Amino acid sequence: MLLKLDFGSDQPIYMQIRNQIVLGIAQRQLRPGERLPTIRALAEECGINMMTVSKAYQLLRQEGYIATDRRLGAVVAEREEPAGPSRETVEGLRLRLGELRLAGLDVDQALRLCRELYEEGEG
Amino acid sequence: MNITVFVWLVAAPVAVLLCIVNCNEAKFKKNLVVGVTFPLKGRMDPEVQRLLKGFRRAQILLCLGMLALAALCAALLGEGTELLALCLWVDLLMAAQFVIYARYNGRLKAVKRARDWTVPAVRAASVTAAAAPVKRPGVWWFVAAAVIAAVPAALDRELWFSYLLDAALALGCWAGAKYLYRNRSETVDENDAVTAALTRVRRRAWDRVWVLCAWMMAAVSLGIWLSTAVVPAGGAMVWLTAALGIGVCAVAVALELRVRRVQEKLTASSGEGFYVDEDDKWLWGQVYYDPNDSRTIVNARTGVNTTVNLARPGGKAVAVFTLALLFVAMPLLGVYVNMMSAAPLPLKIEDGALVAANYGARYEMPLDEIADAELLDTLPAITARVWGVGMDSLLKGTFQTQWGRATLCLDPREGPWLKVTMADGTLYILGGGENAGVESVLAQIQQ
Repeated sequence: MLLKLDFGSDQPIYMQIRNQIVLGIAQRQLRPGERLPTIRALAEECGINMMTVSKAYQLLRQEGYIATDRRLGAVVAEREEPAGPSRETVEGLRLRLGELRLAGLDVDQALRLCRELYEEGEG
Repeated sequence: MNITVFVWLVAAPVAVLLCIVNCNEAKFKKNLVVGVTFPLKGRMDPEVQRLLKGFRRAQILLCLGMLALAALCAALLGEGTELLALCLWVDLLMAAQFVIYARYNGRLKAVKRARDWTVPAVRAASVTAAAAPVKRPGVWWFVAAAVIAAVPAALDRELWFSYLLDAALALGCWAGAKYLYRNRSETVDENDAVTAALTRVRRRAWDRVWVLCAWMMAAVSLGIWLSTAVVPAGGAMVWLTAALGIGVCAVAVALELRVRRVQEKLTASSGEGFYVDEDDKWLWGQVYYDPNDSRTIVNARTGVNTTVNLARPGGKAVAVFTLALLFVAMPLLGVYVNMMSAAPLPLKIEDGALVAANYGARYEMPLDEIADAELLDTLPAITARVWGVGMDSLLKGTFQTQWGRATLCLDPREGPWLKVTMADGTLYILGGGENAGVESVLAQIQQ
C-alpha cells in the first residue's frame, strides 16, 4: 500500500497518514492482523519526524483501526463487530452530502456516486 | 616507470569509468533518464531520443578529451608537477561532466513541460515495504576482516600503526553500511512487488560494497606485511595499493551497473497510471534539495549510491566540505607538493648540530651524538614508506630500508648522499646532488 503525502496541502501530514491508512483498511489493501511499519521505519520511509507518525498511530489506535501487539508492533485491528459510524463520521458525511447538493447533484446522482465509491473498497 | 606515468595510468581510468556510468544514465530506469522522470509514452519521443543521443556523445567526447589531456600531462609535465596537474585534471573532469549533465537535464525537463507530462508532486511512501523485515549483514563479517587486518601488527612491530589503521577502517565499513544508507523503499509506482524487489536489490548491493571494502582493508594489511616483512620488495606497497584501489573501483562500478540493469528490467513497463515523480526535488537532476525531508542522507535516484539533502544543515556542511576539498584543498596541496619537491635539500652545520631541512620538516643531529658518517654513491633498497613523502625527486620521512628503519631527507635522483648513524643506532640518509654540500659537511663532521 502506498501513502501519498502532499506537503503543500493544508491538511496536516499526520492526518493525511491517518486518512490514507483508514482508506487502505477500507479498501482491503491492509488486512486485519497485517503488520504496520514501526514508527521509526515509517518516519524514515516518509522522511518525516517520528512524532508525526506517532501522532497518526495514536489517533488510529484511539479510533480502533489499529492495535498494538507486544511482539509484532502495530497491526491492523480485527473488527469483529462493527460498531457503526461514529458521530464525527456521520457529521462529516452530512457535510459532504451538503457539498454534493450544492454542486448540483440530485439525490439519485449523489447515491450513485456514494455506491461507486463504496464499491471501490470492495475491490 | 617514473611516478608521473604511474600517477596518470592510475588516474586515467577514472574518466572511462565516469563516462560508462554517465552514459548509463541515458537508459530508462525507474522511469528516469538523465535525472528526468518520464511517463511510459515519453520513452520513444523523438525529441527525447535525440537529446539522449546528444548526451551520450557529449560524455564520450569529454572522456576522450580528458584521456588525451592525461596523456599530454604524462608526456610533457616535469616531475613534481604531476600532483598539481592531477588535481586540476580531476576538478576539470568533475565540473565538465556536471555541466553536461545539468545542461541535458534542463533540456529534457523542457521537453517534459512542453508535452505536459509533469505530474503533481507528492511524496510516495510504501507502507508494505516499510513494514517488511530488513536483513543486513552481521557485524561479524566486518569484525573478521578487522581481526585479519590487525594480525600483522603482532608479527611486525615496525608498521603496527598501518595495520591497526586498516583494521579500524574495516570496522568503519560496518558503520558506513549501517549509517550511510537511507532506509527508504525504492518506490516507483503502486506495484508493491516491484518496490520490494528494487529495495532488496539495492540494499544487498549496498551491503556487499561495504563488506567488500572491509575485506579489501584486510587484504591491504596482509599485502603490506607480505611485501615489507616477509618478502621485501621496493615499491610493492604502492603497486599493491593501486591494484587494490583499481580493483575495488572496477567491482563497485560493475555492481552499480548490475543494479542499474535490474532497475531497468524491473521498471521496463512502469510509467502508466500513478508513478513517482520527484524531479522538482533534484536540482540539475543531481543535487537533492527538499526542505520537507527531515533526513540528511538520502539514496541516489538510480544505482546504489548515497547523497545528501542540501536543505539540511548537515547536507550543506557535507557539500561545502566536499567542494572545498575538491576545488580548493586539492589544488593547494598540489601547489604545496610542487614547491616542496622543487625546494633544495642543503645540509649545514648549525650550533653544533647537522641540520637537514625541507618544507615543514627539520632534522637536527647533534654532532657529539653522531657515531659514524659516510658518503653513499648508491642508495639502499627501500622496501616501504612508514610515513612521509615518497616522490621521484624527494624522499622525506621514515622508511624501511635494507639496513632497517631509516629517516630520509634526500633527493634520490643523484648522489652522493650522506649516511649518518647516531650513537643510539638511529640511521639518517640525507642530501643528494652536487648542491647539497654533502662532501663539505662530511669533512666538517670528521674534523
